[in-house]
Formats: sequence, C-alpha cells, structure tokens
Amino acid sequence: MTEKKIHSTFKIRKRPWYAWLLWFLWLLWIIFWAEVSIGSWKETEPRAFTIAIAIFAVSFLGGVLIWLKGTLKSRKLKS
Amino acid sequence: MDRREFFKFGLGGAALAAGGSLTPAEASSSQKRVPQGHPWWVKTLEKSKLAIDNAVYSRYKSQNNVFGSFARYYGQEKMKELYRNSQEKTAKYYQEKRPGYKLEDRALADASWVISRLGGLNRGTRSWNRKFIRTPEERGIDKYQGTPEAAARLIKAAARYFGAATTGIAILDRRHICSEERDKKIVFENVHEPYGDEEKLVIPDKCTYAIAVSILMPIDNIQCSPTAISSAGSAMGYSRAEFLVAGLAEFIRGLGYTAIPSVNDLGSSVAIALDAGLGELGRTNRLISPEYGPMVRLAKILTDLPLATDRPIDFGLQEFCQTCKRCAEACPSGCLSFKDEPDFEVCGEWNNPGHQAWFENAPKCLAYWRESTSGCSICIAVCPWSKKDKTMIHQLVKTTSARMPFLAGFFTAMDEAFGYGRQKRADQWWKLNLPEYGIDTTQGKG
Repeated sequence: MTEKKIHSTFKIRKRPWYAWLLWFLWLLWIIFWAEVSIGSWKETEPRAFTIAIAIFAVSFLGGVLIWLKGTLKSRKLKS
Repeated sequence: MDRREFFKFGLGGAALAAGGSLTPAEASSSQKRVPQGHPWWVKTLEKSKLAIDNAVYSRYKSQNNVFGSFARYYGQEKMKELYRNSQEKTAKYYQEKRPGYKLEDRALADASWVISRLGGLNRGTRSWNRKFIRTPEERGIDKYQGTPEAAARLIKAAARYFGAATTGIAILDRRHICSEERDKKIVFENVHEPYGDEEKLVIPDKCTYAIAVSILMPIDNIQCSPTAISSAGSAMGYSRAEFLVAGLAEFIRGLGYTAIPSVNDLGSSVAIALDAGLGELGRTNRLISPEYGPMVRLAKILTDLPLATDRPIDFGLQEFCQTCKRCAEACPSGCLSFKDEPDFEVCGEWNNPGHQAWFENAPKCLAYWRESTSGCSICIAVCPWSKKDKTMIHQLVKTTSARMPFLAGFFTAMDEAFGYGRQKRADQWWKLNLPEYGIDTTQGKG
C-alpha cells in the first residue's frame, strides 16, 4: 500500500551566486523590453515596436532554452 | 511605486551613479519633486548657460521679424511667385486627393486657429485691461496679500487649470520686450494701468514680473508634418495659448493686480521662458523643455503681482544638440544651423543679436511654409526630445543624456534606428482615438 502524499515540494537547484544574478538581470531585461514593446504600440511607433518585441522574444526564448538545457543536463547526471 | 519611481530608484540609479560626478560645480540639483517642478534630473542654475553680450543685446523691433518683413528679406517678386506656386500646388494636391491636403484637412487647420484669432497685441482676448472680472475694490475687499511664494503657487495652479503644461516665473528683463510693434512704440512709464493710444503702448514700470507658460501641442498632428494636419496641431497650440493667457490675466486682475497677456506679440516668449526655467535653447533656436521637448507653444504675462521667481535650468540639452543635428539634417529648407557650438553670429536682421544661439535663416523657413502650402513642423517632429513618453525607455534616455551628454551621438543614432521622427500618415490621423484637444494631459506630470 502506498502512502498518500500530503505535501507539494519545490526543488530549488543549487547554483552559484553569479548564476542567480544573471537570471535576475535576464528577468529585468525581458521586463524592460516587454514594457518598451507595449509602450511603443501605444505610441503608434511601428518600427520601435517591432525592434522591441524582437529583442524581447529573442531574449525570452534564449533564457528559456538555457534553462531547459541546464535542467536536462542535471537530470542526465542524476540518472 | 509608479513607473517614474521605479526608474528613479532602480534602472536609473546605476546610470546616475556614474554620471553624478559630471555635475557642474555651479549647478545645484533639485533634490525633490515639488508640485509643477521639473523632473529630478533637471538642474537649476544661477544664470542661463548661454551668454549675453550686454553691450549689444537690446530691445528688438518687431517689424524686423520674418513675418513683418518677409518681402524685404525674400524679395517682392520672388514672394509673389511663391504665393502663386503655393496656390497652384494647393489646387493640384486637392485634385490628387493627397493625404493631409484634402479639404477636410485644410478645414481642420483653419478651424483650429479660430480662438487664436480672437486676440492680438492689446486686442480682444489679449487686451491689456480687464474684460469683465470684478476687482477686489469692487467687491469691497483688499487685494490679494499673500507672500510671493504663495502667489507663485496660486499662479501655477491657475495656469495649469487654464491649460498650461508648465509655468515659470522670472524678473522681467525689459530687453526681451520689443521696442516697437505694428508701428507703435512700446514704452515703460510710471503709470497705474497699461494703455495704448495712436502712437504708443505703455507698460507700467511696476510690472516687473514675467510669467512664462508652455502649451503642449498635439504630437499626433505634428508627426504628420508637413501637412495641413500638422498645421492644425500648431494652430491648436496657439488657440489654447489664447484661452490660457486670457483666463490667467483675468485671474490676476481679479486678485487686484495688473496683467498684460501676450502670445507671440510684445516680446520674445523664448527669452522669457529661458529666464523662467521652462527649458533650454535648442538648435532650432526655440525652447526645448525637459518634459515635452520642442512640442510646446509659449506665451507670457507681465504683472506687478509679487511672485517668487524660478531659475534657468540645465538638462544637458545644449551638449545634446551639439552632437545630434537631426533637426538641421531633416529641415527641407536648410534654414537651421549646422555649427557645433552656439555663437553670436546672426544670419540676418530677423535675428536679435547680442546673445548666444544657433541662429536660423528664417526667410528660408517661411518660404518653405509657403512652398509646402501648409506650414512645416518637421524640426519639432524629428527632435529626439519629442516623445509621447508611454514607455520608460524615453525617461531612461532623457535622464542619461542630462547627466552624460557624451552619449548624445549614440542616443541620436538609436532614435533614428528605432524609427522615431518618421512622418506619420495624415490619412491615418482621422482614425486615431484621440484624447481631448489631441494631447495627453497626464504626460510629464509624474
């Protein structure tokens, strides 16, 4: 008989301080460009909007890819 | 925490930590935001950065300005030809149904002038004497007795209420007032009330204060320059200025004091606005404000109401203009200066000599107004300081430019790369969901 789980667990991977700092800067960076994209849209500045949304998308996807790569690597090491 | 505060304490902090050391010794930073004060990154100065040659600078004859003497400067025959061409072009553009030059665009431009046309030098809404307001004497009470600081607060609140974007106060430098206008001498005399007769207009000696006000122009219009839509934007600025000075002058009279309202007449609004700390002089030889760039019209009121005065400001604009030159490059008439530094060398009689500036070839500018058939505001539209401020990046750029002007070249290149200052389509203007008067009244208010 299996015991029913009553807790959820968040696992925070141990990283060096500079890795946390880089993730924090990445977060600020994408928030900044998201804000610029929205603002440029409101200002009806199509070119500024296109550039800002492109920087946002590339930075966001880049961050997600790096995170995925790190997660997969650590899972491989565990297994 | 609002966006401004976030920026101030967050992103701006790092930039300013580096730039703080560049603060000129004579400048004192405005430490806190006061109601209607400038943004925190604007410094106040004891005197304007631009030098005045006291031996040369004097009162200017209004007739010498480009509107008063265009035929003399440009040539009678050339001017006639210009007007003929302008009429032909107007008809051609109408036939072609060219956006920005259709009948509805022209009608909007002309209609936008309607309130402005109600006043002139000591006439109509710009009368130097009261229109109808009751004076304290008529009410059987004393005139306003507040301190100069309290009076300045009242004036700034009332000015904002009547439509001013920013208000500044200076001790009146009489050299900014024209010596004559419309064939009448303008003189200062020891009289109780201002008056005008067949020969002269008399300003009382006691009017030692000048209130400078800026009026925000609708940026969506100006960005369509040069079309009738952008012309409508300028005209709207003038009409709102007319309403503003008429209301504010009557308010001052209601407090029991003298008020002489003026828009472009009577003297240099730019010079008074510089003294009153509304902005700095840019390459266009016009005022650039830290909040709105060149997207403002100016007006002024002379008064004897004792007021606390403001000081000239510095936000690194002159250093920015030295590098930027976007207005001069974009000007289709080539009337703006490409010189690196502002100097004392005037372009012609239309410029008032004796002060440092980037002087413009005004007849070339006015000729292009006629040639385009609808005026021109391209220099205002392309200025990197003309922004709607809907994103924090503009505040970041302004703040950093103010403290680190050597980055002006980079910011100018980025401004162009991001597509700012490109002409907007005039036919799209009619589809916009515009705010009242076409202006965002929350802009620059913190």
